[in-house]
Amino acid sequence: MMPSFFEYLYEQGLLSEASIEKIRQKQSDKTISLFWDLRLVLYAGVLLLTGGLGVLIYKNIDHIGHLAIIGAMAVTSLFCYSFALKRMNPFSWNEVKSPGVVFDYVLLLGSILMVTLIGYIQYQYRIFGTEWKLATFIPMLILFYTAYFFDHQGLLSMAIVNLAAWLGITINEKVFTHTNQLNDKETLITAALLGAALILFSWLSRISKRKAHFQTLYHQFGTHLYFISSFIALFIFSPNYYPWVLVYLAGSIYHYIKSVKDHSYYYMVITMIYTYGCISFIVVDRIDKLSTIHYDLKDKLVFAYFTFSSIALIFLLIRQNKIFRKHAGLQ
Amino acid sequence: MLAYNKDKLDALMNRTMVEEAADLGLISETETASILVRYPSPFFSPRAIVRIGLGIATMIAVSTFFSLILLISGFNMGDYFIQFLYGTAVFVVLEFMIRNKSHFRSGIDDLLLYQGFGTIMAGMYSLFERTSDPYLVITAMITLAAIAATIRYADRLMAGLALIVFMVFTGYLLKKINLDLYFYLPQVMLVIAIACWFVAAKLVTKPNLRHYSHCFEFLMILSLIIAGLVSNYYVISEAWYDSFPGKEFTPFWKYFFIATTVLVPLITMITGFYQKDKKRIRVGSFMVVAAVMTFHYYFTSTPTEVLCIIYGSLLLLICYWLLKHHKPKENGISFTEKQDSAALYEIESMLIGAGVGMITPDHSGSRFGGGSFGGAGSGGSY
Repeated sequence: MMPSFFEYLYEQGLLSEASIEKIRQKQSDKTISLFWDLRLVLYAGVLLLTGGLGVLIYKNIDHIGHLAIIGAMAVTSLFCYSFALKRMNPFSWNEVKSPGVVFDYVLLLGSILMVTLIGYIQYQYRIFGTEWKLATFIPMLILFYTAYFFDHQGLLSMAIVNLAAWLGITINEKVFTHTNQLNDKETLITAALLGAALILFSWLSRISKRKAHFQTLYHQFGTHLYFISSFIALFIFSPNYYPWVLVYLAGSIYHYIKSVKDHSYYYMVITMIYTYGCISFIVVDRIDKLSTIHYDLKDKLVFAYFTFSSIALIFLLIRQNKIFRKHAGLQ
Repeated sequence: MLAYNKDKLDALMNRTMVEEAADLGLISETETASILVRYPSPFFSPRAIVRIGLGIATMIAVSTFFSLILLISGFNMGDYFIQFLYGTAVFVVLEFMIRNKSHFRSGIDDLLLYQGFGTIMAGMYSLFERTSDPYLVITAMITLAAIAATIRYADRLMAGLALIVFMVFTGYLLKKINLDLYFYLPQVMLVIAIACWFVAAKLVTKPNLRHYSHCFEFLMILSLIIAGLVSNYYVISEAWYDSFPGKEFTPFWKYFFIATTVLVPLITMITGFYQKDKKRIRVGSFMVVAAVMTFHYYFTSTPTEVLCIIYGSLLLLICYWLLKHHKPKENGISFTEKQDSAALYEIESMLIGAGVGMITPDHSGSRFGGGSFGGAGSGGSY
């Protein structure tokens, strides 16, 4: 940062003595922070360690013995939890600052091991009998509890993924790359309902002031799950997709209102993009079903639609951006 | 030369500095608001998410309009005349958006540049594909055009494209001169990458080139990555030498690449720490990981899972040691958070959810889980 511009602002009376002092200090401080790099290395460390352990156990299951494996995992997991219990700041329903980066990742390691352990015991000893869903439900409950107790958003994220798994939906990177498991009608309905429920959780977190800062994470998962499942449902339920259009548009209206209320550019943009996807689906489907015109003309109509509608979308985004900036007092 | 007004760019830089200072909590919200009102943005340069939205919409508009023209006119997609014409028209719109609508990194100007450039280059390909050395001519053209686009629009991707395509051009040139020379392409690429890094490092400090500083910074990172790749023994041995049946490493080059596999990452990382260059430290760290993997591939027979456990534990211990014993004031590197980064925490949490996922026994009871989960190393079939 060039100091001269700030000095000029100070001379103009736009910066206080305290602010310019902070800026001067910052200018003289040449320290660089590798905070996020360290977190990334810790994450890689946890993934490598748990990944390596998992494969090692799998390959040597006959030599090591089940009890030894269970014992080792249980002891390590308990050690991680006791470390976290010793270091944690007192529980509060408000946001609790993490005592440190090591705390976050030791807790994550302990939780991964705990969830693995339960899955392993169920596979080996059938502690829940044939109730396989319980083996997902119990870790999910523990993950939710630990996420709230230790105020850990990473664990909350794992808990939400487990909740989806318990309901029969797999949420991982494959959902975003292709429609992994989201291709049968029941799963789609469940996914859309779960999306709506997560949005509701987010709202409840905010109004009840119980870990209100978790609301963003619930909402993120909820929004994308809701829109992605509704969008895929348009294809899967075709030609009887009209109820899904209503579901989709209800989501769009809600998210648009939220974006205006919170002055959120993020929700504004994703609402417009997702809604554009829905409208485009209907238009293309209607053009395709026109029986009176030649297919060559249909192609032209589709391309013309996309050209003009995307230009309209550009104008809409620019206009909305202007309105948001005006509300924020920047114009 | 630069399409954007330089005074306006300076004004935008000042605003960006104020916004950065506000993000770091150095100035109050009231002060920030009053400064930003006093110095309004000279460009339409929205935040990243709006830029992405506008970019997507622009991409759809430009490509579907081109398809519509092809359908109506009956031209072939591979016809260079229509490609040149359309590409030029896209550049005219781009210039209009910059001059009359003051767009700067709005998503619209970015995509107009990439699509206009791509269409003209496709036309170039159609025009020269039947000549005796089409790829030599085309790569030379793309390099020159990308340099021109970088100078005109100060775009970092164009700068990066120019460097990469120049390397490809060098390969075709060596091949044309002498096939034996072509064999030494990795060494030539290493020299080009190092030279590019030094030139970019020199130019990035020039005040009169300040509007291109992000392009030079990008070139520095890219040239380091290329240097890391072409100096790695595994890459050279498996991806390059293997494509020449009958050719083998001479002892000199074998030891040369073993040495560079170690030295290039170490030099990158050590100089990064010494000069407190975060980007260099990051690139250097990845190079070190690649070097370690290379040596394990050739010189050890330890199973992968054991290596994962060893390195995972090692990483955790190193981090713990650094946090416990490292004193920031001693060497100018700290591990504390420097700014409010709630959004980054959110991304990290979602990555944990997606990366670690759920560890769930499947309903069939076969094997250990329902597939596609991470954690405990279990992948698809576990």
